Amino acid sequence: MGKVAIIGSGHGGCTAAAYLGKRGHETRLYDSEAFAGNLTAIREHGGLELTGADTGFGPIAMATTDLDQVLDGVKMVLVIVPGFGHKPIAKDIATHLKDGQIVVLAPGSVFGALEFKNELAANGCKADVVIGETASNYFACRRIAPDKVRVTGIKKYMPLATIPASKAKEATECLCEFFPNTIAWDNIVHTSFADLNAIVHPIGTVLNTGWLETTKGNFDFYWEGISPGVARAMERLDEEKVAVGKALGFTVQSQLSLIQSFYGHPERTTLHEWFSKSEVNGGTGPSAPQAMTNRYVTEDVPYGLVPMAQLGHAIGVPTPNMDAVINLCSSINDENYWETGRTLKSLGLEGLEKDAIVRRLTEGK
Amino acid sequence: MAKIAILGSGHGACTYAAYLGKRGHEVHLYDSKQFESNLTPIKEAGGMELTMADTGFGPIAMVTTDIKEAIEGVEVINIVVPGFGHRPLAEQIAPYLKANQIVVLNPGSVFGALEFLNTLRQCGNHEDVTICETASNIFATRRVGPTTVRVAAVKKQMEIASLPADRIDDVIKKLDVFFPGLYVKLPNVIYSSLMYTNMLIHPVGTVLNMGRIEYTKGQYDFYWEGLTPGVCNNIEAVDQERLALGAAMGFPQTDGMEIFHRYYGHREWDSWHTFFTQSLAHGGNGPSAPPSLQHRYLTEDIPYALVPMTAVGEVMGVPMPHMNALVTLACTGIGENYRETGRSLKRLGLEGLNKEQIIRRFVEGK
Repeated sequence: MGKVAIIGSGHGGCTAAAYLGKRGHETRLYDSEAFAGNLTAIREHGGLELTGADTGFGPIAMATTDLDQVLDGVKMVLVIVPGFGHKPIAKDIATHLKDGQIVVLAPGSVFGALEFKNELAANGCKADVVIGETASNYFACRRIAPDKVRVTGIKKYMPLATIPASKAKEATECLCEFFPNTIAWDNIVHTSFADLNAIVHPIGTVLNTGWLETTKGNFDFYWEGISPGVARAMERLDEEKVAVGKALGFTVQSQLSLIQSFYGHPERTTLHEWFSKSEVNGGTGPSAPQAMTNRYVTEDVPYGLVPMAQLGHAIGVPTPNMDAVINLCSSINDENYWETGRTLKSLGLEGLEKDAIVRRLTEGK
Repeated sequence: MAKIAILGSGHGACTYAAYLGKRGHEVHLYDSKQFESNLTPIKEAGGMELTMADTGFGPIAMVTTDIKEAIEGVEVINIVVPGFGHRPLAEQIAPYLKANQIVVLNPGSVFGALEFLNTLRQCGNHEDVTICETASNIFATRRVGPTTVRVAAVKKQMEIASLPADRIDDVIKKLDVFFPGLYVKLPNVIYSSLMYTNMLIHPVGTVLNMGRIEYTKGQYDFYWEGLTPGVCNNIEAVDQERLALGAAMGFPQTDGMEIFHRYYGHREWDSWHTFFTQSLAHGGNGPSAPPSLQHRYLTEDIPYALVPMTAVGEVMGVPMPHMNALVTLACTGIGENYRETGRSLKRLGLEGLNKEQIIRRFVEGK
C-alpha cells in the first residue's frame, strides 16, 4: 500500500482520505491554519466513517497543518479543494515540493493545472514536479458530521491529464495505485472542459436565485431546481463549451455524455431527465445552496465559466449564455467575476494567438 | 360625456371600458374575432362590474368585433393590450384609421407607438394620425370573472407622450375629458417607453426564479418571495442600463425607484427589495407567480421591452449586458428566438438608420 498526501479538508478531501485509508493506504491529510478546525475531529477519531456507496471506517494516518510532515517521502499529492483554493495552496506549497513529486488537482475546475504551475514558478518552486488535473471529483460526497462522510456516487472512471501533456502516462500509473480507475487523457483542455460543475452549478443557482435566497436553499437543487427551462439553459452553456473546444482544435465531450459515462443511466437521454432523477446528486431532501455566496457561484463562475467564456471571446466563439450567467452572478454578489476570476490575463494567456494558447495549455510553454 | 373606443378585452381593456362607462361616456369595446369569447358575456350583461378600488356597474354601449364600427366617428382610440397585440391591431385598424384620430397605447411597452406608426405606413395608411403612449397602465387590475374586474389600484398620475412629440398639449386636452387631471406630458415617446417599468421587474423576477416557476407552477408570491436581494441587484443593474440608453439618446431619465415612489408612495421603502417585499399593490395576496414560462412576463416583456431596448441600445453604442443576459436566458428557457420574432429594429422601421435619424423618427415620426 502506498503513501498519499491529500491537501484540502473539505467534503472531497475528507472523503478521499477515508476511502483510501480504508483500502490500506497511508493517507495524510493537510490543510492550512485557517481550516485547522476541520482536522481536529479526524485526529481524535483517527479517521472518518464512510457511509452510502462505500461503508466502513477509513483510518487517516495524519491530519495536520504541517506541510513538510505531510509531504515527506510522498510521491503523490492530491489537491482536493474548490477552484479558489488552488492559487493559495500553490503559493504555500511552492518551496516545500521535492523533485519527482506529482501534484494532481482533483479536480482543477478550468485550467487549474496551468494556474498551479504558473503560481509554483512565481513562488520560487525549483523542484522538478509533474502537475496534473482530473476531469472531476472521484466522488459525489459530503462530510455530514465531524466523524462521518456520505458517499452518494463513485465515478466509474477518472480522466487525468498533465502539463506538459506527455507526462500523463507516468502520472496515471502512479495515481492508479490509489484509484485504479484513473485513465490518461490527451491534455488539460479535455479535463478542464469536462468540468461538470461549471456547466450545472451556476445555471442551476442563478435561475433559482429567488427560491434559494428566500427559502435559504430549501429545495432539491437537482430534482426540483433543474426544471426543463433550466436544463435547456444548461444545454446552451454546454453547446458553447463544445464550440469553444472545437475552435481551439479539440473535440470535447458533452455534459450528458460525461455524466452518463461517469455515473451511468444511458437511458436518460436529456440533461433534464438525467438530473431530475439522479440519486447521485439528489433525492435526499433540500440540498440547494443557502446563499448565493456558495461555491456553486463563487467557484464555478469565476473558475469555471469565466476562463471558458474569455477563451471563446479571444478565439471568436460567441458565448452569450455563459456571458449572461457571469454578468447576472456578478451583480448578485457585487463582484465583477470577469476581473476577479481565473481570467486569461491571470493565466498568462491574454493577447496570445490561438496556437500559442494551445501550446501553453498542452506543453506549458 | 364623449365617445371613446377601447381596443382589447383583457384585464386592462375591460377595466378602462367599465371605469369610463360608469362615468357616463359612450364606450365602444372592440377585440378581434379571435377573442370574441372574452366579449360575449360583456355584451350580454351590457357592461361590467367594478370592485375594490372603484365600485359599481360600468355600462358599455358597444361591444363588437367590427373595428370599423368601433372607431367610426370616434376621436380617441385607447388600445389596452400586451405588447404583442399592438402590431396586429395596427394591421386591423389600418384600412379605417383617419386623419386627426388619436390612438393611445396604454401602455406602449417599449417603442410601441413607433411600431404602430410604422405598421400603419407599411399597410398603406399614410393618414395624419397621432399615436400616443402612456408610461404604464392607469390601473393595477385583474378581470376576475366574465363580467367583473377587481381594481387593486388607480394611479394618481399618468405620463404620456405623442408621436409626433409636439402634439402632446392638444392630446392631453382631449384626453382630459376621460381622466381629468390625470395626464402629465412627456417630451416624446422615448420617455414614455423608457418609463415602461415592467421591463425592470418582470423579466428579472421570472428568469431568476425559473426553476421555482416551472417546478411549483408559480405557487409563490412573485414579489414578496421572488424579489430577493440578489434578484434586486439585477433590477438595479437593468435600471442603470435603461438610464444609460436615455442619456445616450440625449433624453436623461428618472431613476426607477423614483418612478415607483411617485406611483405608489412609500418613500420610506428606499430599496428595490424593501419596496417589493412589502408593497400591497404588488404582492401579499397569495401565490402570484407565472404558472409557467409561457406568461406575459416573458412572452411580452422580453420581445416587446428588452428586445427593442437592446436593439436600439446596440445602435446607440450603449453596453447592456444585463438586459442582454435576460433576453438570452429567457429565450433559452422558453425556446424562442425573440431577438428575431420580437420588436426588432426592422419592425420599428429603424433598420439601417444612423443615430440621428433614429432619434428624429422617435420625435417627429418621420
